[in-house]
Amino acid sequence: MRFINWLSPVVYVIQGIVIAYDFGIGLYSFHRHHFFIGGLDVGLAVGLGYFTARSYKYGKRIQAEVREELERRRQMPVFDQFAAETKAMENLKRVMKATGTVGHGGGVITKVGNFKYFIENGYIRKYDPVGFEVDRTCIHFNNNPAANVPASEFIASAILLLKHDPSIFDRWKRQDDYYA
Amino acid sequence: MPNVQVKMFSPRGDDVLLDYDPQTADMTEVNAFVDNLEKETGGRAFSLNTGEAVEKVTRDTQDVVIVRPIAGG
Repeated sequence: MRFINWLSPVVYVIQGIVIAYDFGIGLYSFHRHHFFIGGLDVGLAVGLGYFTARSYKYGKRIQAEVREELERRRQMPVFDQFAAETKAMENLKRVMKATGTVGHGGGVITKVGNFKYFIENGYIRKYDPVGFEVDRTCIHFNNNPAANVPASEFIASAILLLKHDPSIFDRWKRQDDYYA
Repeated sequence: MPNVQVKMFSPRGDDVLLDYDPQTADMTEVNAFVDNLEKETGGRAFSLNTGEAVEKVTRDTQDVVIVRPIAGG
């Protein structure tokens, strides 16, 4: 029993050396200097040359891929917010001209029947012929998922829809505080 | 006479969905295209020049815009 207790550290050391050798660690790792290509031991110089060349080739390939990606991104159309807003404003002006709507403050006033509607981003207010506000509904244009368009175009849409069917105001009223 | 466009409001300002010459275009096809768009988007066609709803596109109809419903209305 005593003998075994004395031997066990030695066994552990021997086992450690064998494992290190197998994994190519430590002093006995000379076999790492052998490179195998297709099952053949090609030696250190050829092996290193081969792997260097392969790395170089892969590096070049990655470089080419990166270059292609950058070129693809360069050719992608850039979203021009200013152009979009300008076009939207032109459309709103066209609709305002067609429907006899006038601008007021941050919104527009359009007349439908005897009532006037003040449409702005956030609220649509309904005024009677005297000029008193009789009703209002709250629609946040920018948050509408169905029509992710500039606010001015949303106002244009509201003008056209109201002119076509004034009862739509009541339907909007039912969905007051409409958020996306 | 300039070409007539069928547009839809979009984040880019507007998208031109159809561009046709009213003198030579087949109006049946144009109407079918607009009807199909109305069905797909749940919207309604309006004339950008008169501001009125367009039931049927004729050769005199100017630019048309498809307006999508607001707030589910």
